Amino acid sequence: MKMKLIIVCNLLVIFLFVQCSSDKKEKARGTSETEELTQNFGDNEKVLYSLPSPDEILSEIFIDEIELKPEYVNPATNALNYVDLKSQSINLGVYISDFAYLGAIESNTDELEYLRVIRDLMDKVNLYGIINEEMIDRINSNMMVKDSLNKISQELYYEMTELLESTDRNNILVLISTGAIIEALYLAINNIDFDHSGDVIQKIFDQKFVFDNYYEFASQFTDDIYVKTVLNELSPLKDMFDHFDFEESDIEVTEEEESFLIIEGGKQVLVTKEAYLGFRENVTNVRTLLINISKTIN
Amino acid sequence: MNYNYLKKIFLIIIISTLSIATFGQKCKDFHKKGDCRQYTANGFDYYGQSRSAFVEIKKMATFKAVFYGNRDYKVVLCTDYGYYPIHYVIKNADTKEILYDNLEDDYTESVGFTIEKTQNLVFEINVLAEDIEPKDGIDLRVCVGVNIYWRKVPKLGF
Repeated sequence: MKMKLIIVCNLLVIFLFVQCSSDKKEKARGTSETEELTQNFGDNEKVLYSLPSPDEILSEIFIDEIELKPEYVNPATNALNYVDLKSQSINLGVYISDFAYLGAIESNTDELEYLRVIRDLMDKVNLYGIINEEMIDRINSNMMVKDSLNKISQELYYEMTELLESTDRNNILVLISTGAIIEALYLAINNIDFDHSGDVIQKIFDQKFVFDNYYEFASQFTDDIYVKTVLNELSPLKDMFDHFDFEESDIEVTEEEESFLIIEGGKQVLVTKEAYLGFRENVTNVRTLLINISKTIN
Repeated sequence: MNYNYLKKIFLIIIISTLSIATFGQKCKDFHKKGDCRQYTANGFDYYGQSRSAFVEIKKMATFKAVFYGNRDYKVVLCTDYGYYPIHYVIKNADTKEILYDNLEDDYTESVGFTIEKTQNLVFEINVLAEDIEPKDGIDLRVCVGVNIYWRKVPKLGF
């Protein structure tokens, strides 16, 4: 009896100790329980941000048939170089965008290799079970059905987002989103030249709204040193987005029928060659910084 | 303090911890089920920015997402049975201008719109739960889903 009492007491002490230490870790990361609840848009002050997946961004930009350039993706062999949590998380996002991009190229069959890289990096940042054998089988059987690959890529991204949010690891989500958004912009801007771009540049510049949402979301977690560092690295791009010229018109809402609206007007970034070249340079610089290992914080 | 007493405390702590963890997962994919599932016809596709959340009733919750231009959208909001109606207001994120208030349509849960230019929209959502008299804290919280469908604006003419 006495022995049982000792065992129960010991278990209780271990349990309380684990709870306390995990609390401390959360505080250190600046992601308290309260913040997790507010992520569930249950708080007056906070907002739940929803960011599009890389395949949604890319398919929005490349609505018309366009020849994609697989040489611009981050080589899969680079994955071995990412040994710290920050570069692993960021480049996990980079490779998810690359996977979505490669998935849209009819003649390409590198997706499986990239999926393996994604799975390895996910394991390294403790995101287990999202890519399982069933998903790999689905990809194998859908290699030539590009729409299905897009859906799988989207599924993977949102599954990962939900897992990170529900386990209160928004700092990691910020890093992954950083890589995913920057890589999508990099692939998009390097796929076109100004003189033959149609309205693709306008669609790339429209991603400013995605970037704004991402930046607001990320700014909530600057207590995390990795998030703070990455936001500093993005500052030239943020600055550029903030200083774009816009054409603006009043928003007009007309109700065509019950509960169906037409929303016209708003603001749109002005496309100029100068803005295009500046944007291309900034995105390329930031992307180069992200796929190379950060020397500042490891 | 005897053994049975300690055992009870231990069990209570374990059960409470598990309950908290379970609530976090309670609303996962809520927007893909039940009342939220609609509009897959007429060229509409599921928009990945659809979300679910666990919210407090009679308190405003805010959801923000980008809506691309030249697209048609259908947005459906849903909650647990018995917690309707849901009041929501859609605003432009930059200007804070109110674009739609479902109060004007008797708290209809779905709205459709065409957007000319890409913009961030904010949904301010309030589960009114008019028929609920909360007996405890659990009654105060409920799942809400925002399910969004989109399609390219169809071209007119021949």
